[in-house]
Amino acid sequence: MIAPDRKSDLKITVLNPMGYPPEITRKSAAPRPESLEGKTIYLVDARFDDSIELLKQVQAWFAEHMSGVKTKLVSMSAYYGHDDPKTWEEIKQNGDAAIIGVGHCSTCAPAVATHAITLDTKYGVPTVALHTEKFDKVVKSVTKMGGLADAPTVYVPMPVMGKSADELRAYVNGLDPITGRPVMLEVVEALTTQLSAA
Amino acid sequence: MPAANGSTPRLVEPATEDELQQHFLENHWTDGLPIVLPTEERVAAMLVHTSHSPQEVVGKMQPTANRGLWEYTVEKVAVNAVMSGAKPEYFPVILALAASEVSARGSTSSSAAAMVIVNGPIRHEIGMNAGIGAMGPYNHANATIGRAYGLLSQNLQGGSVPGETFMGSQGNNYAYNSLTFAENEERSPWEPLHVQKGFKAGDSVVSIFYGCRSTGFCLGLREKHWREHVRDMLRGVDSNTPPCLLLDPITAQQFIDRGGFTKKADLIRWVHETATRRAGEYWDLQLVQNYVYPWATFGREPEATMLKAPPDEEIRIFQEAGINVVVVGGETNGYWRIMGATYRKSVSIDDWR
Repeated sequence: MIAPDRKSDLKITVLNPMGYPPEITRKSAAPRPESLEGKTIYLVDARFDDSIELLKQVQAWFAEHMSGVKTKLVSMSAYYGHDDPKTWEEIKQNGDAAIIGVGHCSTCAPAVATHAITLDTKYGVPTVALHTEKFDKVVKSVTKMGGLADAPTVYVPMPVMGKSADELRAYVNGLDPITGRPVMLEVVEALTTQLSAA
Repeated sequence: MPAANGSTPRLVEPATEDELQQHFLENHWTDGLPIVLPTEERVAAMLVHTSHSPQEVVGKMQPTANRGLWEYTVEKVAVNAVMSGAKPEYFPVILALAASEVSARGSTSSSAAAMVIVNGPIRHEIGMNAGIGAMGPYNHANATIGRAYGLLSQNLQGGSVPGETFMGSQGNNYAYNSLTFAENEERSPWEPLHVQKGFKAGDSVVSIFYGCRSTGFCLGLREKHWREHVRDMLRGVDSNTPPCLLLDPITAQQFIDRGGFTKKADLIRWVHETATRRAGEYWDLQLVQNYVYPWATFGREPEATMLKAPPDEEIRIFQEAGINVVVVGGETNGYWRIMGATYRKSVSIDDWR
């Protein structure tokens, strides 16, 4: 028989190894229009993997289902990890709302979420971010830290890379795997529903 | 510098050792292995080996850009150093790593790991290994300093939790101790890494590389086709991460014998000129599309000029400034490796004594 370890009953005090989190500055989202009819929506390609291919299908969806909405597909000026004031300014001047995506990697999902918050809160452009479902917790963590915890976000399945046009169209016409609601219904709602004050 | 804010409790609720081991594990505060519990006494013993105040802010870190920078003090670094099993005399090296503000637990889905190289007199003072088995689990200082770097990164940046603050799809076993070793300066035919980076030979310095996803491997350099063999190895490195040649002293000497590279800079120039790929194939790589092509279209040089090359033209994959050479190993044979690893930073260890 093994003798009990007497030390194991002794309670000890140890130090917490975690660092100190940053302070969060809360932000407010831009006012939303009641309808997208006659409005211009910018589709912003973050340039990671095949983001632009998914956005082409979003553009096709608007042409088919909401033909009164104008869409303009643009790519970020450079690497997604850098801020892009030139593009944001163009959208502010010429657009009414924006859809940015796709956040589908560990660095581009935080970047896309951050750019969406920037467009919405700094440039006053109602914006929704598209991400793949694998990154939902990453995105929630970033939007919370970014001061807009409820930043409008819609998810599609993973992966986007290498998928055919038909497969990506099915993503766009399908359900958000996180909420179970239609992807494009959520996108339209995100751009037309006021966010509660921070 | 002022002390950090007090938003994280200094102490954990008292409990038995077994309960605390479980508590640390469940909170994702470990690397999955048992830790040395950071008692007041152990942390105090660690703090003896630096002249800096326990409440001094060392730096800020985050698992990925845009997630939010977490702050940490000397005491917080000491807590993580204790957990790793490091001896107190290693503490200045660990503080220097923390001061780099480079996380060893980046959240990249590409599953990167850090690589840590120590230069200067501290290598001998704390008994680090630069010879036989230097990159393996055979030396207490190498093992625990590297482990401390990983633990401090994940805890001081606010976590490294799969699915939330760590998204490496496959993971990376190098991350257990961040490939931590000392350079074999005494058997190197060239100036050591830290001198290349602007320090004096007598300085003690820690240098951090990041990536370590692709590893090429070879034995020596054959007289007839060594150039082609090395070129093939270089093409195996992920094209957006520059190569770091990790040479056993035997192979370092062979590069001089075969190629006449009496200066390390000459070898680096040769690697830059040798690592080529047809432009059409290069630009079609997904990593290049994601990370290089956007800069080329933005107009940044030399990428913009590279983009003008016809598809069949051989273009240089790696910029010369990003290529590094380090000598490590115990001369049991001329085995050597190429690690795809980006140089991030060198930090003075002496500043943290």
